[in-house]
Amino acid sequence: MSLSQSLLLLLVVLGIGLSFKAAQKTRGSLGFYCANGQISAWQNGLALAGDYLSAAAFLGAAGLYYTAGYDSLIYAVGTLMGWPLLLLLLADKLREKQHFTVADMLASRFGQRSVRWMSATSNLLIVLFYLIVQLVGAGKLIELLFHLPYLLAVILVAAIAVLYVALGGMLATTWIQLTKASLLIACALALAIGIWAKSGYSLSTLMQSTVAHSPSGAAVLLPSPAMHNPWEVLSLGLGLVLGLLGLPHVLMRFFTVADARAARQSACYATGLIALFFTLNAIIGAGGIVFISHHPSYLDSQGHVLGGSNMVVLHLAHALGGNILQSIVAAVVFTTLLAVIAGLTLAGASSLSHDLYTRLWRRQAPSEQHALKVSRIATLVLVCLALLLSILFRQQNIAILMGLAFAIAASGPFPVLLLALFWRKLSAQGALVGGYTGLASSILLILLGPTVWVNIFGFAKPLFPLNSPAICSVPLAFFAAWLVSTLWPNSETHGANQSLPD
Amino acid sequence: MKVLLLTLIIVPTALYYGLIAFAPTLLAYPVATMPLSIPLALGMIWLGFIISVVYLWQGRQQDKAACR
Repeated sequence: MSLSQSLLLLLVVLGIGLSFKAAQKTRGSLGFYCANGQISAWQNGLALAGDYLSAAAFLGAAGLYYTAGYDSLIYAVGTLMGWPLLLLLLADKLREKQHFTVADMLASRFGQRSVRWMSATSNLLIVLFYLIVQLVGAGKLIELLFHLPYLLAVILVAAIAVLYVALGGMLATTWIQLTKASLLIACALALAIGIWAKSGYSLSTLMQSTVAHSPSGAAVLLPSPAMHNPWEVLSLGLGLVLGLLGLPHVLMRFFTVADARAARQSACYATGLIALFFTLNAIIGAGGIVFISHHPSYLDSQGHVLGGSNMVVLHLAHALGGNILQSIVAAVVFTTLLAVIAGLTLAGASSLSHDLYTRLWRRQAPSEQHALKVSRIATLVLVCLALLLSILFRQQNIAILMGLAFAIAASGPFPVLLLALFWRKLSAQGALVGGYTGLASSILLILLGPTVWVNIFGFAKPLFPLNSPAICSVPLAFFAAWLVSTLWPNSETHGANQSLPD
Repeated sequence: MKVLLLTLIIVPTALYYGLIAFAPTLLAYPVATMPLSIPLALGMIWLGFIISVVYLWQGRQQDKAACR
């Protein structure tokens, strides 16, 4: 067994051990979904960072820096700026009352089953797309590193994720996320320090070397031609910033802490960790260009990175620290994928079991034992569905699927959530129409845009000119919610929160 | 205070993406030995964290004042 495989096995066994320990403390729905609200602020902050920093943030960001230079930082700024917005707008309000899911929260405001249905299905859609991205990424990574067939690789990953979640619920995923986040940041720190040391401990020397080694020259430190359409840039920025505020597996974490104060603290800790990570990633990306781009051991006969640009980080680890560092980084990357899959699975399972089954289909509270059993079955069902879809989507560009998830999150759940928390005049009908308008418009515009209509369907010109639909779908969702709420105001709303401002 | 902090997030973010969208050549302006683009991006990333810390600190001050 190679060092990579041994380390990977060790981390998987550690994760399973944590899940078994968490299972002993997980009782009932409150324990399974929210860890009994007993997660501390710093633990939740690390777990939030862990949930957010997927392998795409590590491998994908460095790969993007390698191919498109500064564009990677444009993405980083957008995604980071969502965090202080999350803190200021949503963190404490989400935690004010004990809910299991965001759909719970909306249903308590409007008291209508249709609103819960809308929220739950849009959350499920986002979770599914995100899960597919992670499973495809994990499958390809294992295929490359351990020479296992893709199908076996994704089945293995899916099985481990089911074990983590079904056993220990939110407590297990929290412990796994904070372990993984610590390891990921440690790896990024090690790589960044190695690069910085080889650059004579000078950032300006590193930047000069990056320019010297890049085929684009000085343009590598400026926006690429992909950013030349101003409306594309604005739409991308809007989607990246607001997308975070609609991600169900992130929002769900605010139900796990004791009170609103802990929710705010955890969001702040997460922001700091992510800011640190993105800063280190900027150094790692530059290091990729300097130490990989002209090194024949890491390039194929056509001069492309072996395994694709997503493998830049792994090759860089080898360049800096040989097989040992590469093995450690590979094992941590795989753990990252597993942990994010576990977090997403829990968010999706909660929508399936709590929102759709318990609240909508069954309509009366089941026994705690039954609820827990349903949650575990929902976990299995969701992962099986994502597994099947990941086989179908195996050849698709992962970035497209990720962009789809963010665009849907920014356009569907976020506008309704924001208005529900801050605008008393939002009616149930307005929430429904706004939510569905955002969801449908974002999906439709992505399908009609260049990445799907042209690149996948093969048409000559797109029907919608932008890759990211946020600049249209987000305002459309807000407008639809406002218009319908104004035309059909709250008259039969059940349990409307009277303390909300006008 | 919350409105001020929200403004301090939204306005710089809008300006940053506006700069990339409509005046990208300004990002090439030299700052020490690198273009403006790099320190600007890193500054934006840490601005988000600084605002989070300020909000948290302000919340603690309010809690202390309420306890007196």
